[in-house]
Amino acid sequence: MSRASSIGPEHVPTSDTELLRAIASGDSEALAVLYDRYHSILFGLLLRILHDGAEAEDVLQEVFIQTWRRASSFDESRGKAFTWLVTIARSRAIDRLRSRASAERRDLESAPDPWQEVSDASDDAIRSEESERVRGALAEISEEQRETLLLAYFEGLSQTEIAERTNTPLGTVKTRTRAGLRRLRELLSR
Amino acid sequence: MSHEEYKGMLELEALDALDQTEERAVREHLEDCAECRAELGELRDTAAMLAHLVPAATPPAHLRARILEAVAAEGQNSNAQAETDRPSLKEKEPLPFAPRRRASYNWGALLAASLLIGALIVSLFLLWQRKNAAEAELAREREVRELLSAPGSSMVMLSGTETAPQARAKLAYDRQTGRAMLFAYNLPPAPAGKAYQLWFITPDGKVLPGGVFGTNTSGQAEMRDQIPVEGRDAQAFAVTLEPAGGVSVATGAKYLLGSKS
Repeated sequence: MSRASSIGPEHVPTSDTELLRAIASGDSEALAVLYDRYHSILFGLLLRILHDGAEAEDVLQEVFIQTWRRASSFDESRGKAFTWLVTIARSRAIDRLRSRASAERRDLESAPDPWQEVSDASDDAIRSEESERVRGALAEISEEQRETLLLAYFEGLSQTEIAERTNTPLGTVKTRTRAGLRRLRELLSR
Repeated sequence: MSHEEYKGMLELEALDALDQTEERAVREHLEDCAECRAELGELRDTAAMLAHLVPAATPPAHLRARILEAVAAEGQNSNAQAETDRPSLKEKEPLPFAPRRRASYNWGALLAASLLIGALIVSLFLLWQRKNAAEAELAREREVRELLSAPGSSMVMLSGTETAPQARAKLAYDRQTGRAMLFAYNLPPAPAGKAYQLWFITPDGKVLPGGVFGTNTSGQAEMRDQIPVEGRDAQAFAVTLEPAGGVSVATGAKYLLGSKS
């Protein structure tokens, strides 16, 4: 297939969107390129959500198989290719998290504050440029907003669950999420 | 609820943090509102950036090979297949009738020849269609045979619920590999923006999402799926009507139900 040859290492890097299009047309080489590009960030995310290496591996495999099957449903007008891929990974991981026994979930609830954990964990890791940008933006929003966003994103908690966990009225949780994500968007678009 | 009220829920939807009732309402609104869809897209892009906070980690090297093997075993994805299964008619048509140079046409002969060629094209086309249908049928039979002859394979019958009493389906799957095929009949055609989705219900009551599919005009459907590892012990199976992209938690009406005998 002619499109496959344009993805070889000797050529200009192909955009994520182009890769997804090639995958949709049955180009498995494009899937390998996408894997090489994103496996480490996705695996990091899956480990962070699941706290379990074997499960994270399982889900990572599911993510790429789903990418292979559903690449044609990717719609550029609804967001970036990176978002599409990360969303598949996150929602698969959170589905697993939710289906775990409640006893196990209670253990997770006593897990350390997500922001703290995230900052500690990456102290000695190589911080990518993107990660610095997001970290910088998050440092500019209020602590309550940050906590709300991180609980929703990494713990997969719903607004009601966040309200319960943080002992905050539901209305406040909604306001914090809205303001926090809007502000984050503003800061990241600079 | 007003457009503005829905708009105020998009941040929560972008983080999948809405409660079920609100989530359903927002998703319905999104089907009709391009502005909110675009806004949600941007908010999701922002939310996805949070993934960069986590330190990257390297999965074991064998995982890459395992994924590529799984994909190769699966063959081309359905879209690519649809493209190759339907070669354009142009390639199959016989060469066009070459016009004679001389001005004195024999109109009767020309007409007869055109009719003959027309008839030939039609029959060639019908033959070609039949051949394709037969090939597709053979390939499908081969696939089902392979699936059913696997040591861990099972077959489950699903029957229609009150919503669709005429509907029937067969689900063949291999517990070891998770490969599954679903054949459904007499399902009402899914309305625009909706599709059917398969669910796996495990002995401890977990409901895991499966593949999404539509039907042809006569209500038939055929779907290939990969059952997630934790769903392979499923004792019961269901098909519901959901938003076209599929959902992770079943929300719609049940159309088909079946359990392992």
